[in-house]
Amino acid sequence: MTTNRETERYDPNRLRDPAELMQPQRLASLKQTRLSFTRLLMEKMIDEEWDVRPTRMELDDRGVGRVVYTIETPDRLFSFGIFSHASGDNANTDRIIAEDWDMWGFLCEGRATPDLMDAQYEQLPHVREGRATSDILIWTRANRSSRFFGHVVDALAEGHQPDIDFCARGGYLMRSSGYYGNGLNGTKEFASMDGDHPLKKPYFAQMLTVWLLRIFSYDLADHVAGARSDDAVTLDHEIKRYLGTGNSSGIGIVHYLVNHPQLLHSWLRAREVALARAKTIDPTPEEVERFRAVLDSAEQWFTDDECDTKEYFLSKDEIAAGLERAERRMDELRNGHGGSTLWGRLCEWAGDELPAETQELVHSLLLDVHPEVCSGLEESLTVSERSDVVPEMTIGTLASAIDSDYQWALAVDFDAPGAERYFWYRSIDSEEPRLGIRGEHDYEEYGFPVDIARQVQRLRADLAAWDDTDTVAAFLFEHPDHRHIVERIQTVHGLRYAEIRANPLDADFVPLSFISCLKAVWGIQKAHPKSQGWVRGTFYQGAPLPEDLRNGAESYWLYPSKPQRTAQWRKQ
Amino acid sequence: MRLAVREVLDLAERCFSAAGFPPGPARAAAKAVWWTELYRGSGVTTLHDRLSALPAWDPDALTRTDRSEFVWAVDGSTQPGLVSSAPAVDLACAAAARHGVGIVHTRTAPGDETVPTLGHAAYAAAERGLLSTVLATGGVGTPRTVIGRPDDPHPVLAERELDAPSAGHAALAAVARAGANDRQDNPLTQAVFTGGPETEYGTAGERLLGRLLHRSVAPSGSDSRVDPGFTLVCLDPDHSRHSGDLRRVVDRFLDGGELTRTFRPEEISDRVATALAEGVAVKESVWRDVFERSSAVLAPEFEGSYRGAGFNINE
Repeated sequence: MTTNRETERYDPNRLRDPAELMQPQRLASLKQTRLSFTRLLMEKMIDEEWDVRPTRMELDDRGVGRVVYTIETPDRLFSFGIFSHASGDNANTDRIIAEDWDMWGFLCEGRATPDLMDAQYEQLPHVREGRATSDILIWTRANRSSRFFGHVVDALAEGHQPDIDFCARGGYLMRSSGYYGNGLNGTKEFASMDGDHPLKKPYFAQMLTVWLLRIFSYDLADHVAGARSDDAVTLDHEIKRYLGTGNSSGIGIVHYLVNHPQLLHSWLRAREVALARAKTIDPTPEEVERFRAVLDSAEQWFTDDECDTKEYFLSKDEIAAGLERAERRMDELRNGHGGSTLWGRLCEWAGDELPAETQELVHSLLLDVHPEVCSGLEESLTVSERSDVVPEMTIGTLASAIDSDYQWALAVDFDAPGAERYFWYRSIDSEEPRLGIRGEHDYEEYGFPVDIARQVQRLRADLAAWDDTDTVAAFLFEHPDHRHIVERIQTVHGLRYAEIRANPLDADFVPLSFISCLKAVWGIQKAHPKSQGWVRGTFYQGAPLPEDLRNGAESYWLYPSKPQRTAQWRKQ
Repeated sequence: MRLAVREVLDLAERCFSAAGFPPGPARAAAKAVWWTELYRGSGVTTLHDRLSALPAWDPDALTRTDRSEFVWAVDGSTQPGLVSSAPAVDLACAAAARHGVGIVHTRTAPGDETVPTLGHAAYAAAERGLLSTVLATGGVGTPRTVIGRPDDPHPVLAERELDAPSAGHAALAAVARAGANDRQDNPLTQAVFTGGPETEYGTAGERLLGRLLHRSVAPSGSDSRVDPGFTLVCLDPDHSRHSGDLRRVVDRFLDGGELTRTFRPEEISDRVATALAEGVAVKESVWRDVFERSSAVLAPEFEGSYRGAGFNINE
């Protein structure tokens, strides 16, 4: 989907108010956009025609063994080394404390030689103490879906395609719960990648691994089915395109987003700038038709999606209904008057009339129709996380910054029942992030400082005893316990989207909002919550396969149509 | 074995957190450990050697006395320099920003084994755009001076080890001991003014800094008294208080051959690149000890923990 339109100017003062965007409920509503990392990576893979092939496939009849894929970019070679297991249905908890997985894998620069494979085979199972080498980019672990993988293999072995309606409920055959990189366990650090490195963008290495898992899951299913029966067929190309990679994410994401305010700001700002640019566009009739087309595709996609969103997300049917309303409203909006553009009027109407999730989907679709509004923003997604105290700042200036930037934090009532119910910590067992209930559970002393609002309030109270002309240096000398929050406040001052306006200690806090937000930034398409703090989802549904990359794939792959049943498919 | 740069920082920060440091001071101390690893190749081993002492380290144990509007005396005599350096840098930088000069005289614990980390104080101040001098006496090793000058992408640092406390350190220590609250003249002038003729520099500011630098590498006399600790002097080269080109004074001094080692930005950039690409080499036994100590920030297993991670997860 391309356009020659010049990027329009927008009024920076009209970027969305953080008081609206940084509310957890709003962040939970965000959807993937073409600035999401899966989208950016796939665009690069398509543009550069990356060549991905299995170069080692040593699996027994159950799919246990070793596999290597090589990934050739225009000037680099990477490998994805896999140790495939069959752990059994009982082990698939997706928690990092699990002792067995259906696969361990690593993405590395260069070739995954037999020696490297042997060495990593010993290290990968050890979550905390295992050691990668400095040319390894990512470690990952994944499980076969107990529902879908078996179903697909059974069907293929019987000589027919699987039930696509059933598969669509999850949308994947394998599901990973983590991608370790950027120095963890000795993996290659992001900062060490040279400027031409094809994966030197946030999360590109992780997202490439996610996509490779998808390819492996299909090859594995074909292999196991083929080993089971001479009559086996291979998984249909259309179905492969339609399915993706499963993902399972938990409350560790809350730690991550709280600890990386600069990244969060840059990622959200890029999306908001793109949206602000899009709203300035009065589209041509062709662009309106293109919007209608993607709207229809998305509507059908959500209509087809039968995932249970529980009470945490809008149901897929409600989203589809909202998109249909938007589609019906278009003609009236086209004839509307006033100073605003059609897209400006559409967004305004959506803001008034549609639920937040559907609004955000409309925003995402507008960016799909106008890729030019993302021009230049990709580079802004990589930012320094450097921070330092500004010791010469006066107490008056610091207090003023707090009063202007952190009213939301000062407004939290920590005397209210339940306002400090939880504490957050990590277990020595694989460093799994966990929650404890204050006063009931042990180990409160291991709590992590995710309580930004409480820290701000305590700091503001102590500042009140100081003269406005005193320096931060003198204050911190007497109050070293405030150093962390003072440095944070000084660092993110002016970064409007750095702080999520939530109190993670509160009894009513829903971690899902943070998890959904980051998953949207990554580029997940489908999310199905298992609980308040655990979300499963699917990446890359519709994305090109290796053969598509080689044959010149279309760059727009979102919202694929569900493959139609054919005669070769058994009726379920 | 090799550790990623990130791991060095994270392990160090966790060790300090496990010792009871609040998050901010833990991170600040970890940065000093990383600096020591990068510049001296001994950050992790310095941390390792002091693991058993960490529980006694306490950022709250420092006290300060103001000696003038830009001179502070910090008593950290029960603490190593690694604990007092971050707040000392903050005080000196804040004073320099406001008054053009900031001086912090810090007493540290006798036998301080973290002296190799003190160069980080000069580095951190120079990173904030200030000319900096650390004058250290006591602890392990010989007295030393580290000079920092802002540059890009890293400050220029230079150091000199001495057989005796430097004359500059002795003089500034004396000023800090005596107090200068009621003095009208610059405490720095008091400390470094020699009364001799000056022909090298044309402005008062340049002459003052030139004298400080020369005295910072000259040994003090046998009757000088310097308690264990360090003095940090920071100057804002762009402050209206100063006349002349103070950066040029530092550059000429660094080129003058009186320092034993100079770390140029290009060299440090290369070291950083190498560390990022190849990791930091440490003995496995050292890593093991540090790793175990760092793990104390993690909650132990307890009965029932496998039922869930909270919010009914996996329950």
